Amino acid sequence: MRLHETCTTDQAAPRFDHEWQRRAFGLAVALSEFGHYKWDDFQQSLIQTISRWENTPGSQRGDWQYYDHWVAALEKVIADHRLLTAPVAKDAGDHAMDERLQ
Amino acid sequence: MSGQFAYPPDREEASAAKVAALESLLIEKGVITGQTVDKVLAYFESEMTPLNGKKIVVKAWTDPDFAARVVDDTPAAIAELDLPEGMAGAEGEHLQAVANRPGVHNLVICSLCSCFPWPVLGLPPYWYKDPVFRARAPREPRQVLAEVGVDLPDDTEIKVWDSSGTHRWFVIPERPSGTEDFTAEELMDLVTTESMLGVALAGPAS
Repeated sequence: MRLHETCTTDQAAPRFDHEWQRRAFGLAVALSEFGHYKWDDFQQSLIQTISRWENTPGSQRGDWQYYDHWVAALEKVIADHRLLTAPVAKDAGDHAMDERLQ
Repeated sequence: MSGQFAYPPDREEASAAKVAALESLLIEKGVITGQTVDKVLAYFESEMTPLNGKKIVVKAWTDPDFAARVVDDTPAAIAELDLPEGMAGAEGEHLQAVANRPGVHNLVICSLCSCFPWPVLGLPPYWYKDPVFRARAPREPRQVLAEVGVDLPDDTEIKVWDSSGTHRWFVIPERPSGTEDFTAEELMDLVTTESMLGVALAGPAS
């Protein structure tokens, strides 16, 4: 196996190919920073998504696309924390008042 | 960087649509506002950049006491420096520096996903997330380093640090010889993101 060519050429180059990747990144960080879930929860979700891809035979999985995994992990952590299904109480400063994190 | 990650266009559209839908649903639900993601991104992109890491490395190169402290208690040592507000947050509390020295070279990876010391290095380069790099680096670090142009003497020990949610490693590279008369600014030019991850040595950017 050869290293990806960016291993030798990517001198701190721009990190996002597309705006949606940038927004997916920002969304995951924002939800954590404002206390809607702990960063570890997202991290675990991402690890699981990536490991499912890595444990799938090469012929049965798509190309490596990091931000597809990121989006899948984000969907799962949002669902796990019922962010779109449970009522949310907020204070005036945009911080979630989630009793699980208090 | 087009062409390096070719894949069907509809797959990308699907992911893009999912992200847009998630964000608008979260706004509609009142979980975030229409400005939240932009604010967070703006903060990351303006304040959490490799410039922070460069300042830490140059301070360590020019102040031996700081060099010892930054390895002993990284967040406390970083707090001494005049770096952007919030360096202690956003995973900053988990930062851990390791220092290269003659005979010891440190390499930072994340074998499971892509944990990264954002506050000091910004966002991870592509290769850091590459599955081949993540799989091979822990197994054959000397070979991987040689392939990216870091040929280490056989008797140099290579320590591989696997990042996690609670340990965000970064490397204090060795100060290149012949730089005794360099100003702090000139020294900062020698510190690259790659050198702070151990996949390059400090030196003029090639």
